[in-house]
Amino acid sequence: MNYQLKTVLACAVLSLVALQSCKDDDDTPEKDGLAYTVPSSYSEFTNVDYSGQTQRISQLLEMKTYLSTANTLGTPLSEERLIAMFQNDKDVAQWIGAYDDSKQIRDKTFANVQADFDELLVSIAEDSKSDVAHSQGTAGVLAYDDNSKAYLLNENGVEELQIFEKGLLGAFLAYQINEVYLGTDKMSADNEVVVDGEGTAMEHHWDEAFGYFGVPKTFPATTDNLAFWGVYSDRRDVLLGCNAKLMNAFLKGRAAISNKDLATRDQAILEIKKELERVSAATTINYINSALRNPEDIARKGHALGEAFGFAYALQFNSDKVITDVQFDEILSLIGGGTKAFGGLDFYKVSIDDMQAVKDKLAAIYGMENIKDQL
Amino acid sequence: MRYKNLNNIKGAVIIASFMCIVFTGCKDDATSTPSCLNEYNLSPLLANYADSIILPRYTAFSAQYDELYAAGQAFLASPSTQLLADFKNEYKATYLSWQSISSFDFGPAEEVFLINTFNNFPLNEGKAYADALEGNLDFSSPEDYNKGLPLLDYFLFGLAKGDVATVDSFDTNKKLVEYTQAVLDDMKTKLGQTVINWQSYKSTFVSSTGTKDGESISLLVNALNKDYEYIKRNKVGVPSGVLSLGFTNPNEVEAYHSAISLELAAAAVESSRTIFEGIAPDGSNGIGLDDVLRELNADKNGQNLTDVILGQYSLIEEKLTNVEGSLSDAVDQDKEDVISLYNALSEQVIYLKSDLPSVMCIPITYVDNPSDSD
Repeated sequence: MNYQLKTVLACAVLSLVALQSCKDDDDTPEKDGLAYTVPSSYSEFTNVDYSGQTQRISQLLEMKTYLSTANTLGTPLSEERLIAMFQNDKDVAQWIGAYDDSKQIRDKTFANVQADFDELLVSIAEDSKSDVAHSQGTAGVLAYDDNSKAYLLNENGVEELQIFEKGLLGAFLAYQINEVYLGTDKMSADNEVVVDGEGTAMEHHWDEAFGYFGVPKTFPATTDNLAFWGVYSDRRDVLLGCNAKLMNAFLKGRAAISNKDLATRDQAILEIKKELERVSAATTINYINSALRNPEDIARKGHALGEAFGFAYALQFNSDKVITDVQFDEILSLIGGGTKAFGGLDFYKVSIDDMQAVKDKLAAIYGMENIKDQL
Repeated sequence: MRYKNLNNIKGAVIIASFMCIVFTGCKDDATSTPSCLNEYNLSPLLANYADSIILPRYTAFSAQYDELYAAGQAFLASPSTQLLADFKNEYKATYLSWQSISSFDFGPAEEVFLINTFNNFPLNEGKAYADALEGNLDFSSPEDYNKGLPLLDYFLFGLAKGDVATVDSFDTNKKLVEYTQAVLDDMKTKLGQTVINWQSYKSTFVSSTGTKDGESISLLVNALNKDYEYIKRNKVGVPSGVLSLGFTNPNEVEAYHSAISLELAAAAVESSRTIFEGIAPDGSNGIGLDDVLRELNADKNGQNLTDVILGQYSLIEEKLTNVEGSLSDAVDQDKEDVISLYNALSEQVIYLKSDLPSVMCIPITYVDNPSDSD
């Protein structure tokens, strides 16, 4: 090649780089911990707004309340209303709360499974029309053997309300936290321009992730108005110590962003994802234990395995998950032949050995052998 | 790191800088090569790209497009299975040929949104069909996914089951005829503008010899990378499920209905490689980015960067041939090979988007995959 090769300033650039990195080190104070204070409560941060998340959590609570009315025999649900609630179609949803038109659960649910949740709502609405008690092959309401509780079960003994709600803890809430707000795209947002009331774009995304955790700003010192993940973190806290782990990670990451310390922020992201996964796995075991307490009680089994399946299903909405794809598919399959798309769930097929296997496998994967019987 | 001996470090840096300055001073007479393109004579390189690659490729693509256009008009004028077969063949040839110019999204092509016009996929089938029925023939928005070659993929291969039924659809529904004609016209107009504007743009392109943002080499390298990432992300990544927690998206492949996704991906990779190498359509190998990197002695982990990039292209081409069946089936049935292909594609991004521009002092300025916010 006959190019004219001329000298460039490689060395000057190199030495500039060297000087620059030297200067960076110079600016960083010698320290073992962080060069800034991490507050002990989210209320110490300024410019925090996650009202959109609060609204959607509130919508899901309303949906849950409405769905639960079908646990009384002869209380049919309106399919139109359920779908309208899922999509925030105000005119049909009959909301109690006031929500912005743009805030809906469905479009924040992982795109590939939105239709699966639509189908669940259609199925639940259909089953709720049943005017007979549940028996194998027939949908209907069935009470526990001791009559303490009653749930609407589908023809295969599955309480689909739990699949819907706990499934959304994964496909909607955990997905939004793990993959959307704490994901690469949003965490590459601007961290310089402060918008009044919201902070920088990156701070705002972090706050939105926190908003989906469903806890008060002063958590875990106060535990009022817990919702969804907040509730289950609190229930598992005695054995996992997860309340403080999760809250501290949220606090640390927010402080790190405000102090442009992205390495610490990334650590906090991994801590949050890891701990949410552990809460989910431990809660799956907890509900398996519940079913094992009286495996012949069809209503108890339908409810507890519905919970267990939902929490196991939720594990997958995490690109850094500990459980492998093969292990994950095996767990779902053991809980009634389930798949990622819920398809063909049948709790009549679930044996005591299956339940025991789910429990043992999850305990082994997550290092919970010492607590698996107490969960 | 916590430096206890900061002064020593500073001292070392000062000495190193000094040595560097001395070293630089010697360089003028030495034969050592520069590590950056700042004062490099890019004219021969740009001339080769314009004269031997870009313009001939546009010429070849235009000729192919004319064939498609003619076949389309013939079919639309009097739909028959024979004319449909011709139309389909020209569609496939055109889609393959398209891959050879999709990397030139700057200057005249960028002005008319040529990429969006020809290949916004996956098609929004519901919208496209509704637009056809409503006679909505406005294709001015680059954000719309209701046109271009993906529309032909849908209308010719996916709208009806089998050729007889497809002919029947066009026979009985004149709205489909009208819409397809409008889509063909839209592509023709914008391609025509691009080709004509290159006549005058060529001298601008060749004479803009700096490396800064907006100058020719920067435009070329940015567009090459943008197109490459489109191959990686849209052609393979999205369908494979690696970007969606393992949930595959088989119907989001390029050319879903005609099931030629893998051929198109292979053509796109070949185009990317031959642009890198400066190879003309007639096979002659002129000055390309590969030669520049060699002249600059660009090194990657002790290996020549050009060799690393070419080796990676070969690996990708091999991985492409490993994938069995159509890509939309393979994402579920041959997962391992598809993900292995994706990983090979991803590795090349580091070399093409990070190493190459940094050695050549070219700023990467395009934004990949802007995300929505709430």
